[in-house]
Amino acid sequence: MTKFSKTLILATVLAAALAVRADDKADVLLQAAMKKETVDGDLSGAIKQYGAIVAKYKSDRAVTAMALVHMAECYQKLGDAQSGKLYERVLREYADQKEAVALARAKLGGGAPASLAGGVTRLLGNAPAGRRLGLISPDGRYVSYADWSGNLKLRDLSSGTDRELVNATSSKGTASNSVFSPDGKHVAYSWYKNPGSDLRIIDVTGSSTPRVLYANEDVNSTNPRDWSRDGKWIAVQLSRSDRTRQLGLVSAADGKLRILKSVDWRGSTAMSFSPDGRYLAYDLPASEDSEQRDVFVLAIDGSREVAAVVHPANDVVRGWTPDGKHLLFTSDRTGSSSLWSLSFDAGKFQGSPELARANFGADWYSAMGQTRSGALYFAVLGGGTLVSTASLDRDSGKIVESSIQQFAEGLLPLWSPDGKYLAYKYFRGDGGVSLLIRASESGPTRELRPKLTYFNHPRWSPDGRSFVAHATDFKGRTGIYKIDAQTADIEAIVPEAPGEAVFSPWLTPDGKKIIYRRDTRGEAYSLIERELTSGSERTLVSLVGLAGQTVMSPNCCNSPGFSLSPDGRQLAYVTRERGGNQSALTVLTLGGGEPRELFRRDDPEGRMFAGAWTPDSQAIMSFGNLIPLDGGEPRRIDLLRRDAGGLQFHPDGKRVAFSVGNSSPEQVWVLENYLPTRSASR
Amino acid sequence: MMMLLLAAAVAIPLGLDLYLPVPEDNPMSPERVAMGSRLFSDRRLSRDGSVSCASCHDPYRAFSTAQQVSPGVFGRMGRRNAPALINRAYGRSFFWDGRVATLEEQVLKPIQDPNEMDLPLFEAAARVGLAADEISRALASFVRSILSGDSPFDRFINGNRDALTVQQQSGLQIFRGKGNCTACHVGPNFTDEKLHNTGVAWRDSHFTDDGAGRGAFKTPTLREIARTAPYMHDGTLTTLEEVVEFYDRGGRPNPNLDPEIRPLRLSPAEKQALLAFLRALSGRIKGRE
Repeated sequence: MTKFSKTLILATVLAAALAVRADDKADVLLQAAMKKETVDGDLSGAIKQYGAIVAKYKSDRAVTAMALVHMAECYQKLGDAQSGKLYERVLREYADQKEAVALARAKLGGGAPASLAGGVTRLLGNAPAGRRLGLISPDGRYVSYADWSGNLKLRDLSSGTDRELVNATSSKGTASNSVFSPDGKHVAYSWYKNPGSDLRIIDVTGSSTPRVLYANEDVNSTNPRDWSRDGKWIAVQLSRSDRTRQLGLVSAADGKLRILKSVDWRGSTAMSFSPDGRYLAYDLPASEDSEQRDVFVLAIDGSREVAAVVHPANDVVRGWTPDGKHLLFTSDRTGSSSLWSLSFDAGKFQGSPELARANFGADWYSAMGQTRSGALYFAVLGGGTLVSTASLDRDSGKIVESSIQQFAEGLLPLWSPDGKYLAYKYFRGDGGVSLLIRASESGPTRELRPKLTYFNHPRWSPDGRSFVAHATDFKGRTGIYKIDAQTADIEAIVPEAPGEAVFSPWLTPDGKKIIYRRDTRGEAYSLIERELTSGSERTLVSLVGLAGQTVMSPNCCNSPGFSLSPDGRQLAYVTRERGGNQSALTVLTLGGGEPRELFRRDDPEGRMFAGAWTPDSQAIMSFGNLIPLDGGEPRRIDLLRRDAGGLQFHPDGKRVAFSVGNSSPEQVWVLENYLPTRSASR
Repeated sequence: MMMLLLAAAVAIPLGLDLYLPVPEDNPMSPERVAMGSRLFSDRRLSRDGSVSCASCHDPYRAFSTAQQVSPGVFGRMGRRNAPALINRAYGRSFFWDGRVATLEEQVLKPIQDPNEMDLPLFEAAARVGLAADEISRALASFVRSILSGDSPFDRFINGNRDALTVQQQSGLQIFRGKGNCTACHVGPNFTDEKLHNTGVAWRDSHFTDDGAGRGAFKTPTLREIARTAPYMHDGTLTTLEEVVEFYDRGGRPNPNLDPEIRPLRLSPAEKQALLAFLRALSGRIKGRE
């Protein structure tokens, strides 16, 4: 070998080594940026890091394309239209990057997921409008679900017709989660009574009365998650009275419970039997504070557990292949939720997860389980709600159509007391909920991720430094919480006691008191004023909801149930006779006076709520009307769209914010033949 | 096979999870549990032959001790109260400061601790004729077999509504509600296995024991709590009544006090109910027989 050729080889090796190091660096930076986005939740920081990768590693098209996709997703989460431009740039400039293009196309396309690894999706029809979708029947023809009234129903996907199995009113309870037996002849469902809940089974013909399979007064809920193929066991997640969850099996024959494993306050989102019935797969939060999940598999005899998928991303179990040789899970490790498979043999996992289908999972879909053939069913959610602002012509009561801006996904928009910020609630793709704060309608957006599994009706404090909201923390404790507007730190203000519900907090203008609603065992309704420093309370309004008496309308949807005027002097709430057809808006002047009925209408469906006050505290929105406090004639406010709600006035009184749209499931899809050929043939 | 061995070695009492975490490399067997039981009471594992594991972890006190801190070899005193070895199979970290992650590692530490048994492992191995890792596996298997369940509380939450008295049921409500006890003492084993600063170690503006850092110590189980006095990591609270009073006052305020610890303002009747409930957590102890 000549000296020249040796030098050439050495240079080539060095160049290759350098190239590998450079690629590694780009990959490392991409991983770091993804961590910032998904683990830290710092979207703005992640955008900067993705941008730096795109600028520095232009030659690495795979990494650059993926960085652009991630950057677009960050913008999308922030409600910034820049996201669309970036997705389009990926399609335009990186057509050779198959996965990135698939992700971008799917994001832009909206509907069905793009095909990447040979899977085929089919649209099966409209999803039932339900409070809780159940799992698909083994033959793929039916889906069980609980509708908004708590009735248990079956939707025949072939005909699009519904059939009621259990009537909530006549059975004095409400249905929730449900699963089919492996022969498709029965449905197991959780049934909520007042108090307590149990697990029941009913024949799908509805010809027999439901059978109570498991009941325990110490259990808040027994949610069925899967039914073993041999028909012997129903996998359940129990919610105990201490708010923790337990994963267990209920014998379908005699209802005996076998607790397999006690877990934390948030529990699993899904449980799935292996086809041979020997194992149960489930997901759990990675830690007490984490919003990411990992996947585990437990032998149903309790003999062993295997950590199947432990990764910084959010990993959620979806099922198994029919031969039991692959565990299926969704993961957002590539930025969007995709379907992955992991080889499983003789009780052990082998190799690394393989991507089975890009863009499939929690972002847009509600999982509906698998059929006997392994097909994965899912409901595609609606377009979601959009936060909108507009100018209001008070004289005509019309929204100025040309002024409408729909600028971000979210709901319950709320202007800060100084009118400079708009805060709104946002459901993240990973199942969590954030509070986004936007500087005016076009400024930058900040994301608050309080350690809460749920919050509703947030209200700014008068100084704009915090919010109060009805919420549930990571330990399952529900009550009224304070959320720091800078740090997202939370503080419990009014914890909920057993048998009662506290919600809809309003801060008084001096910030020293809150007024909230307390319902006791569904029979007594009170509006309570609480002095924050001392904790002393006094009852402002008290109603007993016995038969034939007046009850307070519940909080619902976009309405907090009752409403405090900006000057803190008036309290508005809605009452109706139990079983009656009319609702009335009532106003109480704080500091003296009797409640005064301001507005009454026919309202058979109970849709009247106390809405937003005008900034001058002289009128209040309710039932689509602006109602003057002085008894003047109500004026219709036309929001132009039937699905608009949650209207709020800007402190200047000239603009309004509201949300439009809904997030109910809209379509049922099925994914078949999703495994890569290489894996399927093994 | 593993399941058969496990079933033969351990029966899970009412109230505990069927899944008992056992390392793949130390499967439980009746023989290994029996060997661990013998080693647990073997004084040869201490330098002067004066103490065994059972000296500080008395089977008739739910494997805890009546002493604030225990004497080791040559009368040397330990630093912390010997904790109850109940349901440690479900533990995720060990010792009051949670510094050890496995039972196999934990069981060897007291043998080597100068204030406890003060014996190098090679000498311990020579004395009992077993390799150190065999001692570790056997002791860990035995500790794993010590299970407490089937208490009145377990029977109550599994459907026997007469298993708790009215006062105990009231105490359970306080435990889960106003007392905020379940913020840390949670699940079937009444522990989150996490570290918390309750202020026990805060005296005269400093920590007498840093614990895991900043005065934090691991949440102990409350099972068999009526049998495991004295209480806390330093054994300074001698009765359950003192423990309830301590938490009712909001622990001992200090710069690192856990945010879950705050004054409870329990009435005398509520305190009595809470105590009655805590005493209902005594059940049957497997591993003592």
